[in-house]
Formats: sequence, C-alpha cells, structure tokens
Amino acid sequence: MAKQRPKRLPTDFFDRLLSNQTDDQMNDLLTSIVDEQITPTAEPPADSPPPPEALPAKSLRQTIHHDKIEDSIVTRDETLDEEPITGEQESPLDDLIPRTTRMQAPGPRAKRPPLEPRAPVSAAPPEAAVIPPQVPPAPPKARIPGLESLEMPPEHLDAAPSAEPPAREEEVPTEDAGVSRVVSAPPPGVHGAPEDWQAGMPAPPEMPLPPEEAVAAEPTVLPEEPAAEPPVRARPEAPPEAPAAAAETAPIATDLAHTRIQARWQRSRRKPKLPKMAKHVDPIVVLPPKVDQFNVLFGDLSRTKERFVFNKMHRAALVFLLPGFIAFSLFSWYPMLKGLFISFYDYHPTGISTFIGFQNYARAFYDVMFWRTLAHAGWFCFLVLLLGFWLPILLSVFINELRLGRGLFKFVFFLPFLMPTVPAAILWKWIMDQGFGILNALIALLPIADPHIGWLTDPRLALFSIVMVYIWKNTGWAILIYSAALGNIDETMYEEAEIDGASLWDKIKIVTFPAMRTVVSVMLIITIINTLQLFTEIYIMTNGGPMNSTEVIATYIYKQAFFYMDIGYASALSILLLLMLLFITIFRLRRLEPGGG
Amino acid sequence: MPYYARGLLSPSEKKRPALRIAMGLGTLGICILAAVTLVPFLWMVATSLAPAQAMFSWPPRWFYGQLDWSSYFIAWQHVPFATYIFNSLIHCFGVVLGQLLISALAAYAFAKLKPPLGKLLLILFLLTLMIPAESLLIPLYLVMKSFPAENLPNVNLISTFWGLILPTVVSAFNILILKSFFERLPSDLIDAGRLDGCSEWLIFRKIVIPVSMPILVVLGIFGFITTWNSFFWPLIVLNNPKMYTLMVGVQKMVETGEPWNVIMAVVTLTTLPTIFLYFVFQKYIVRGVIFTGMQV
Repeated sequence: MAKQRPKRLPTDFFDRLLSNQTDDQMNDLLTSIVDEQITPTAEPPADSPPPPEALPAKSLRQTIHHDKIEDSIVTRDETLDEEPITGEQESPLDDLIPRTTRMQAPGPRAKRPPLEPRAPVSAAPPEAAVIPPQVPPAPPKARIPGLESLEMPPEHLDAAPSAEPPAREEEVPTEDAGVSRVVSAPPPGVHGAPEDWQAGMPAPPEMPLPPEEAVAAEPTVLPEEPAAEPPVRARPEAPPEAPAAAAETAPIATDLAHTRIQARWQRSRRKPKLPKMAKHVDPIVVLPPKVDQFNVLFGDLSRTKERFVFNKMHRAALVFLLPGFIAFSLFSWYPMLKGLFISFYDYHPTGISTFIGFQNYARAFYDVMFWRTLAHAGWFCFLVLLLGFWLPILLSVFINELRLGRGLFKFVFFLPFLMPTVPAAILWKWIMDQGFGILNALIALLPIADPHIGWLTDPRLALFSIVMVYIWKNTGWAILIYSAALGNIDETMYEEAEIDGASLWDKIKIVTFPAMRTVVSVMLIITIINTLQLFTEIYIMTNGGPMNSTEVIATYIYKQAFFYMDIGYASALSILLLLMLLFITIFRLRRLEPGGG
Repeated sequence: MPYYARGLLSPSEKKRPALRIAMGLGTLGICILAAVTLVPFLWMVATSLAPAQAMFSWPPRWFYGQLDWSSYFIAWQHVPFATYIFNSLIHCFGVVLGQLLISALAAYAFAKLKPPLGKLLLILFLLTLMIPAESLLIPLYLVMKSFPAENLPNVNLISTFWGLILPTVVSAFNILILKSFFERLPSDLIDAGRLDGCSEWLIFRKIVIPVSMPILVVLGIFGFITTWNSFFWPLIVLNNPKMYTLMVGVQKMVETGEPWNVIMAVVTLTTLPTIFLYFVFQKYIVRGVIFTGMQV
C-alpha cells in the first residue's frame, strides 16, 4: 500500500488552482483531493478480527464519492493517522485548508490544497465501528462539497472497544472551525491492543514506512499499522462502480496524496508525549503552528506566505558577494582562527610546533610585563581622557560662539590631524629632544634649574609626553565632530528657551547637553579603543620607552612576535587584547547602527 | 549684515560685561592654543632650513641668518622618495579600489538583492569590526608568508604589493556605511533598469555606482588617507627597502641617524602633500570625518 502511494503533485495542479475556474470545477478538484485522502477501509471488529477477504473490497487507489459514504465506515490511511480526528465543521472546504497556509490568490476558491492529508470529520456513532464491512454504502445524502458528515471511527480504538470508545468519540467543539483539530491521543495501552488480533490471525508482515512518513510516525503508532494493513492488501475484487470512480479522479488524486508539503506538515504535527501509564487521556486540541516552520530560516518570507524561490536576483547577489566572501575568509576569518589556533601552540613557523594548551595564557597571567603593559595602556587612556577629552568639547562650543574665524580655528586645530602619524611622531621626538629640543629651550626661558628635561628619556615623564602628542594630534578631529553635532542644533531652540526665560546655564542644560550626549559617548568609546590600540606613536618615539615605561600591548606583541620570535605567546596576547576590546566594541557597534556616527 | 548661525549666546547676552570679559579671555586662550598647535609646524620648517652645524647649538634659534636649503637636497638624495611615493601610491590605489569594489558589491547585494542567508553573512562580515588590527597582524603575517595556506601549494607574499594590499581590502566599515546608503536608494531606480532589461551587473554599474558617487568619493579619499598614513602593517610585511612605503621608509631613514635638519626636511616633504590634498578635497574630507566619525 505504501508503494502504491504517489509522490508528486501533478504539474498543472497549482495552475488549475490559481486559474479562474468555476466553482464546480474547483469542487471537483478539491473533492478529488479529499477522496484520495479518505481511503475507505473497514474496521475489523475488535473481538473477532475478520479474515482479510471479508473486508470491503476497495483498493487503495480507489476513491469514494462523498455522497456514498454517508453511512459507510471510513478509515484513513493508517500510516498517516496516529490520532483519530473528530470534529464538526460547517464548511468542510475551509476545514481542509489550514489557517497558516492560506494563499492570496485570485478566484473564489483559489486556496492552497490541504497540507494535511486527513479531512477532519465528525465522530462516528459507536455502532459504526462494528458495521460489517460488506455492507454497501448508503445512498448519498450529502451534496458537494459534501463532507459534512464524513464519519470516521478511530480505528485503533476498535482494537479495544470496551475500553472507552464513547469518551474518545466525543465531539469536541472547535473554537475556530477548520483551525483546531481534536486529537484524542491514544494511550499506549490502547495501542497495544493488537494482541487480540494475534490470537485470531498471524501477524501481518511489517510494511516499511515510506521515508517521508518515517518522521511523522511515532513509535507508539507503529503497532497498529499491521493491524490496519491486511484489509487493505487483501481486497481482491472491487465493487463494480469503483473503477469508474477511480478513473475519474486518479490522475489528480494519485499525485496529490503525498507531497513534500504534506510530509512537512506531518513532521510539524508530532504527537505530544503522553505519560506511559495513562489509561485515558482527554482529547487534546492541537493547533497547527502559526508559521510554516520551514520558512523560519528565511525570516520574513514566512510572513509573505511566498515560497522562497531562488531567482536571478539571488544569483546575482551571490556573485556580488563572492569577492567579499573570499576576501573576508582569507584575510579576516581564517587569520582570526589561525591566531586562535596558534595561541595554543609553542609555535615555530619553520620548525616543530607543539600543542601546549593554555600555557601561553598562563604565562601571560604570570608575566609582570604583560600586566605593566595593561597598566600603561590604562594609565594612558586615563590621562588622555582627563587632559584631552574635555578640551575639544569646550573649544567647539567656544568656536561656535565666535563670529569671525570659525573656519580658521577649525583648520588650525585640524592641521595636526592631517599630518600623518609617522612624521608627527618624528617631529615631536625632535621637539622633545633632551639636549637640543625646542621644548626645553622654551622651558629654559622660565627660571628652572635644569632646563634639560628628558621628556622621552625620563621613565616618569615619557608616557605623559606621548599623551601630550596624542592630544595635540587628535583634538582637531574631535572639534570637527563636536562642531557638526552643535551645528545640528536648531538655533530656534535657543531662542525659544530665551523667550521662556532660560538663563545661560539653563540653555546649556536643556538644549546643548542633550544634543551632545550621544556624540560625546561615542567619542568616549572611540577614544578608549584607540588609546588601547596605540602603536605607531610609541614605536617611533620611545619604542617601549626608557626602562619599559611606555610599553603598551601593541608594542609588546610586536616585540614578542618579531623580536623574540615567540609567535605562540604573541598570539595569545593578541587574543587577550581582542577579548578586552570586544567588550568595548560591542557598545561602539550598537552606537554606530542608527546613524553611522 | 551677513547671516551667520547664532550659537548658545543671545545678542543681548553677548553685551553683558561679564560675558564680554569671558569671551575675550576665551578668545585669548584659543589663540594661545592655536599658536601651540602651530608651533611644531613652524619648528619643523625652521629646523629643515637651518644649517647642519646649528643642530647642536644651545639654545636653539628659530632663524640662523640665512635659509639653508641643502637639507632638502640631501634628503632627496638620501631617501629614494620617488620609489617610496610610487610604492605608497600603488598601495593606496590598490587598497582603495579593492575596498570600494568589494564593499560596494557586497553592500549592494545586502541592501537590494536580499540573497538567501544574507543576514547571516552580513553579521559575519560585521563581526570583523570587533577585531582590532593588532590581533590580526601575526596570523596575517603567517598567512601572507605562505599564501593561501601552509599545507597547500603556496606563494610567499612578504615584501610584495599583493601582501601589502590584499589584507587591507576587507573593510566591514565601508560595507556598513554603503549598505545604509544603498538602502536609502529608491528601489524604483533599480526596477526601472530591470524593466529596461539590464542585467544586475549593468544596473550596478550604470545606475547604482553613478548615483552613489558622492559617498564613494568620500570613502575613497578616506581609504586613501588611511592607507597613506598606515604604518604598522607595512612595517611588518615589507622587508625589502625597495618595497618600503613612504611612512616605513621615513621611519627607517630616521633610524639610520641622519642629522635632524635632514630628518625635518623629510618630514616636511612627507607632510606637505597631505595638507595640499586637504585643500583640494577639503569638502569631502570634512564631510567624511563627520560622516564616518572615523580616525585617519
């Protein structure tokens, strides 16, 4: 039976669905879908399982017209039906279409085919379960769509009919027709009922599950499968009207039954786990998932209800992203991973590298010099913030008050920033020269005993001197940014505040501060990051400085890697620096997102 | 009277005597600060024009009677400026072109083409913003030494332009900026091209690139300045004096112990082009500094 099941939709199915067909045509189409999914089989009486020949002689491929199944016993494909589904619906066609898969498509009936193979049907009366299969179907009562009263006894309950069939077959009112399904989950005790079968007949051979349904079928359901199969396989002769009916609907129905969509749907509808020993469990209402779970991966695609289609644009996008991807993987991701890798090794590029675990990190922990570099970096950062951070704020506010010479002052303060770092550092090295520098010459104008101050040669002063250079170089840049922020303030806000009687301090507090706050916080973070990464100034001016007094992290890493050739240790230090800056950079990224600076 | 944007102070407040005095003092202070800012430049030029024997005189003087241009000639002879500047220019243009091409393509794809898994890739790209350059230097050096990998057939890119340029063409920052710019481009513009039968590449080249020229110029100038000033990576990757960029070459020259007037001549020659460029591209540079909030 499983082998006969078709796998694919007919190619023209969606076209037919979406084209403007008459209601009758659509009814036929949907009817055929339903028919395929409701395959009639009979339920063997629980006490005495009938021989296979006694079962209703309808092949699996065959379908029933709804109008003929009014009173017949209808079962569904057992491999799909873990749970019997009961429920009363006003509009069966709506019920066939799960809420989540509605498509916006033209036409009155242009809806997606049911993802779920089972049509929810009303509960069967208890006696329906024991109607002999040979009883011919009752004359039709229902019209198209005609599914109002499909009856379906939960077949796995019939194995133990005395247990509690009435409880199971209660109709649970659904709050939203077509949406909720009533699932009475059979306890394992009920599932185990095939012992009754085995008394009367040999256990039928297990049919392998088709791959799509292997997921859907839960272990607790498996035992009932053989119980349901003998009737299906042992139906040699069909009623005379059956082939004609099958011939009409087969082309569509055969292709429809098991699509990928269905398999996915079943996968998403796993049964809830139940306690093993429960004898009776109340029906559980299982709502279909709100979003197509497959599309969760693709974000908002699930909202537009469109299947993801790989089109020309996406292909172009991938081509466009290719150079970036290659560059990033070769020059960012791969080196990063490689650095992380190396940091666990005693690494010798040409010799033998040995894995030493966290020893490099432990070494850094016990390395006094490393802690000193951290202290220097922290002290440098602190000095820059203390001496230089407020200066550009003040200057930009003041320059903004000037009537003349705004551009001139901005340009003058911006000049050091235009100068590349290397010549600037060399220049200051000369200015701060102990013997013949101009700075000491200017100091000599003051009555100081020794005008030859070792700005860069005195371990107590060297770091401070570099801080001065740093402030000199970067103030103009900060002034430019703060000026831009000040220029964004609408001057009428000042005027309004004045009309309201605000004092000077009030205006600063109410208008200027809020406008500057974001920029100042961004600048704070950028300054911290830049000072912690400082390399060029220190490398040129002191190269770690007198008695290591200006050694910072970057210069220390550089020396470890290219002077002492201890690449593994240098990598570990790099990773530590990365971790330190990571924390700060997260803030920076978050600030950058809204406006781009 | 020409209009100028008023600042914090109202006209009446500016007439208050206390504030007038404060403004006067402030102006004085800012002038002093400006002078302090400018003095190093003056000292740089003064030293470069001083005679060599004046380097060891105390106290130093600003002016030694006549201008001595010999230090510039010596500097030009001792430092192969032409080579260094040529190397630097190749470095800069290579990096800028690579950066802009890669970033613009990727940013356009992220912003307008919406590829599958694009968000994931974007996050992966932007994560590199968090990596400080110093952390990558050592592994990058090793990668460049045997590119692309040690256990594959590889080439040594140390002391080559490839090794100099390639690692800096990745710029997540440019991608971030360009993506936010492209997202603001009207989609109709692109759809119009699509209707006319352009391929995606033609749309990108004929529509997107021209429209986004202003920001590309800003980013290009910034990339140029950053690359021109870059020092750490060239210092590591270049071992051959013929391959030195200007900054590395100047630093190496200083280490050889030239007299200070020659060094200052070199420094002056190195600084002047950037200031000249600033005057040419002033609008873009100022806009770029403000726009990107980024350090050169």
